[in-house]
Amino acid sequence: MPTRLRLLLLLMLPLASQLAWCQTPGTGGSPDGSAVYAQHCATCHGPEGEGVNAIISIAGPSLQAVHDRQHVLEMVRNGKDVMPTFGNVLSAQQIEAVADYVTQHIAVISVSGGDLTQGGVLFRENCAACHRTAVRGGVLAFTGMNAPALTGKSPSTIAGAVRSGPGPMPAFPPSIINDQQLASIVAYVDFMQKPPSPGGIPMNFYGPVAEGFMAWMAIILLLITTGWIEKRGKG
Amino acid sequence: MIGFLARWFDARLHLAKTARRAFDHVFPDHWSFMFGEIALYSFVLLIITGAFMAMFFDATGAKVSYDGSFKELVGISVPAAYRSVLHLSFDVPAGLLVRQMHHWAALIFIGAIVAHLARLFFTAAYRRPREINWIIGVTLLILALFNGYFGYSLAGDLLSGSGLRIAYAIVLSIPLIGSWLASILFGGVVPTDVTIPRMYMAHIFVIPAMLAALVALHLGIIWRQKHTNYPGPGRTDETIVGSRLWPTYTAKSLGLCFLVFGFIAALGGLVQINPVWIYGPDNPTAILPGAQPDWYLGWIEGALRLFPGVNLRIAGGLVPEIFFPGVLLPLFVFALLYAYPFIEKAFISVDDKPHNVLRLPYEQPFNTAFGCAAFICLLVLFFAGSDDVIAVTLGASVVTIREILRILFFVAPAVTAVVVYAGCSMWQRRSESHRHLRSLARPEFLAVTGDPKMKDSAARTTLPG
Amino acid sequence: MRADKDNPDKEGHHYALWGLIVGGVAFSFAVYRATSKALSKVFSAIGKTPNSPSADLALTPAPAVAPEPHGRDADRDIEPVSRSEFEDRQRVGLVFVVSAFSAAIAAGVGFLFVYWTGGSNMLLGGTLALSFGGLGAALVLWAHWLMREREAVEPREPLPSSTHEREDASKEFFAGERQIHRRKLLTGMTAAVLGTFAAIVISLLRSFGPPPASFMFPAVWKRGQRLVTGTGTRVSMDTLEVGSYVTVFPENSIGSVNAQTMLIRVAEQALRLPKERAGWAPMGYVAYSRVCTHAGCPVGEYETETDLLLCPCHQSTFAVLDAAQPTSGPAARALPQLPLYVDQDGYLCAGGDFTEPPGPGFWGMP
Repeated sequence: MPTRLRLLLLLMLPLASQLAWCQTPGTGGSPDGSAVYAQHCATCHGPEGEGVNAIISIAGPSLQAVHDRQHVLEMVRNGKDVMPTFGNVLSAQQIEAVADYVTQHIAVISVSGGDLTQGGVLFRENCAACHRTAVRGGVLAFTGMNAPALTGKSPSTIAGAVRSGPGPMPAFPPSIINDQQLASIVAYVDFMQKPPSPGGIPMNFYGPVAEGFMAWMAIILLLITTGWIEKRGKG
Repeated sequence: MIGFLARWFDARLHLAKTARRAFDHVFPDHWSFMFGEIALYSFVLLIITGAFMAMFFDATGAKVSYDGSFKELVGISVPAAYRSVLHLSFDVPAGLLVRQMHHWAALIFIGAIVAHLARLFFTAAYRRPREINWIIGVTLLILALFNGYFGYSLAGDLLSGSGLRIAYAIVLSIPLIGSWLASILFGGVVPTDVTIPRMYMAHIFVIPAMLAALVALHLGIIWRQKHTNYPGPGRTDETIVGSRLWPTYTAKSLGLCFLVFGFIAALGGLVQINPVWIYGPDNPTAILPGAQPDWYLGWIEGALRLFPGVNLRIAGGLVPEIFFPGVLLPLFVFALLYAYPFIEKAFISVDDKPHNVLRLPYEQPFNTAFGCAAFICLLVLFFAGSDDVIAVTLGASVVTIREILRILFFVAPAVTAVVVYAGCSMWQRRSESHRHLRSLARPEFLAVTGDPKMKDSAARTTLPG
Repeated sequence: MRADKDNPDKEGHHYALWGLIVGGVAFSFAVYRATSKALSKVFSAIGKTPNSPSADLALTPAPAVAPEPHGRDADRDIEPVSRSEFEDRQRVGLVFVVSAFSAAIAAGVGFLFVYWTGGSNMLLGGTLALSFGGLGAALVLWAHWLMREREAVEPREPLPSSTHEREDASKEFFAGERQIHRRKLLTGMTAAVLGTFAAIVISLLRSFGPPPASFMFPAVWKRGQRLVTGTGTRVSMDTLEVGSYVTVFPENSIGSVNAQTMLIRVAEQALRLPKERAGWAPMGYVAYSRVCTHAGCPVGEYETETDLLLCPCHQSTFAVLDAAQPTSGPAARALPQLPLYVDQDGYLCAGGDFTEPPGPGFWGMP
């Protein structure tokens, strides 16, 4: 074979392996959502949708609190960050079917009906040690990562993470935090996305470190101001 | 009107001569002499805003049910002090502004004291006859540190509650008498029923009374001894050059006062500080990361984090590992600060004569190098105190940062000392050669004093560089 | 202001107002610098008198030493100006001082308006800042532009008193003192009374707190006490999965500070407890005191992958599989362990108290 053709075939190999994932739409009738899920989603999201016990940014989070069908449709069609898009790989009926399957069979954790106040108490007792009461994350040791900020995370991601304990995070089974308590915690995290800050610029709720930094900026400005004050006038 | 009042008081207090002397009192005006005034005016604002807040604060740790306007906490059992702070912040008009101004003023108060102390140190203003004022000043700094700590611990929130537990552990770690001291100061394992009331009394009465008395003494001594001068023409140990108190210096000083108030009001209105509603009420079974004290205690916090866990058993008892960074380090630092004028007098410049003209930093290479090295050492500790915030912000490992800072704690001051000493010596030699040339050309600029060092400084007409 | 009234979206407004204030101040200052020179020229052109100003120099005393260029601004000798020049300068300065006062008054009124209409903290602080700052700037500008700067030189009196004064004072003192120190018995008794007062004052410190023994060695757990979670649920064998933890307390003292315990479930075969603690961790349930031995913070962070307990205060780590020995950070002693066993109803119970008093160390620690 000419070298250029060989090269071309070689380059096409990865493409070919991608194409192998493609499946022609099912053998007549509506596609089976669980089969689609098992083939395409289970590798990253776990066979029961419990997520893979690795850091969320690398493998899939738990889907067990995903109740929003529209959200599933969007994610599957368009992908997001490390999740690939399946819009070209799956047919429209397959996507609809898997969305039904996820929202009806996989999503077993309810995140509604939580009490904000109780959620705060629970969060401070169980979660604040790693994630801070302002849900902006905290420090860990020897794990290669820090506890992430919970801002910008959907309620379903939070709920799923609490149950599955991705990476260095421990799992909290229903015997410790039942579903109603979990919904409360989710409500608290939601409230803390942008908590009331009537005092002014919150500086991302860093706390005394940022406040001290700001104070020294003001002091330096004051020292410069004394330079202006003691400028000599004319006699 | 003013005339009438002046005559009325003078008829009863014999004031005219004193007033005349006061109006004529000479103040050297250099901008670096105003740092102490920034501290003074912040202190005034602290008292005013503190008095306002004291009308609302409920100084007890007893648990009550929160029923205010911050919905996330409604119905929860919180300390009464915490509830009153939230009430002040959300339900009292201008309450949050006053509270934030008070806290910012505290941070600026101590920062200004530190800047003032640095200026005094690097210009050797602690020399005779000003050792008394130096000692008073260091005492003011220590009292201010304690008062600030008690102040933010009053709110009964989770962040300051963690700080209380750490303070309790530090007191407990003192050998032999630690547990007795902890009992006397805290009344038992924190938090007890008396923790908040006791801190409140210390914060609004005992310590401010001592601060006010010492500040009055401090100012009185400056008035009596007259302020120092930087070297320059006409400035000798026997003369003071500056501007008179009335009206120029009064206007500038009052102007600074209101500018300080303005800065603090701007911070109080625009930058949130200590949002205790975010931290939640104090709870000895809960904790949060990023639990730092206010900035001025960050050096002790950093030492607590960096100092390795050494188990020391001597004479039948345990000396816990936090004794060294928590008790010995601050004792050592403040003892050194107190003793520095006397050490310097005895060993470094060997000079017990009174001085009223300052020494420039490069004219005292050892002191400047030592001061810079100490500053860098403390800076490393400040960074160590916020190492977890640094780790989270940079996405780095706090363990690595800690190891780096442990090394820097020894290396950075040593390098700084060498570099600064060499730099000062070089600058000194350069300015001496300039001075020598100039003194040959302008003999009339040699001021007549007994101190040869003085002569040279006064004769300098152009600063190098 | 009510918490729920404050829309979190106002965050952007905070930055905007900050920027406005900083920009406004910087702009005013720039305008001030730029116009001061121009205005001086304008005013002097308008107010120029035909007479020569030489006679006015008599009002300004000539400095003792001819001015030389100096490095530091404030140490410079005052540049003498004639009276008419100074009056021109004063006219210019008046504009600035009046503007600053007007800004201060306007801002003050603004504060009153915002306060009485229940406005936000931002606006309250911003207007107050401008009001204070305006007054401060006005006073400083008054000093710069409207007051004559005169450098004063004064002698410093020597601080030590003269020999004569010292002799007078000591003579007076010793004249009276002789009547005191001759009475050795009485001075001795004065000292004794003062000594007893000192002893009283020091003893009164005892009133400030209970004797340490009452709180230093708390018996926190007793054998047979069941473990319960913060909500009162008893812990059984299937409460936790491997890689989970829960905070537990003795059954009748939920929330107890000294008794708070971390109950963690690990893989049983991974545990490396010392021989004498062999039966303390049934089914991989292992319990350690939650109070850090360093400075007393609750050790609330459990990392599953590394099996470490991490204290958030100073980042000490304790190895769960190795009887909570400290592996890094400033802690020196391991977390005390609580022996566990399963009772006949299947609930986890404490097999005794902690191995050591929980919490930070102290001199008398066993």
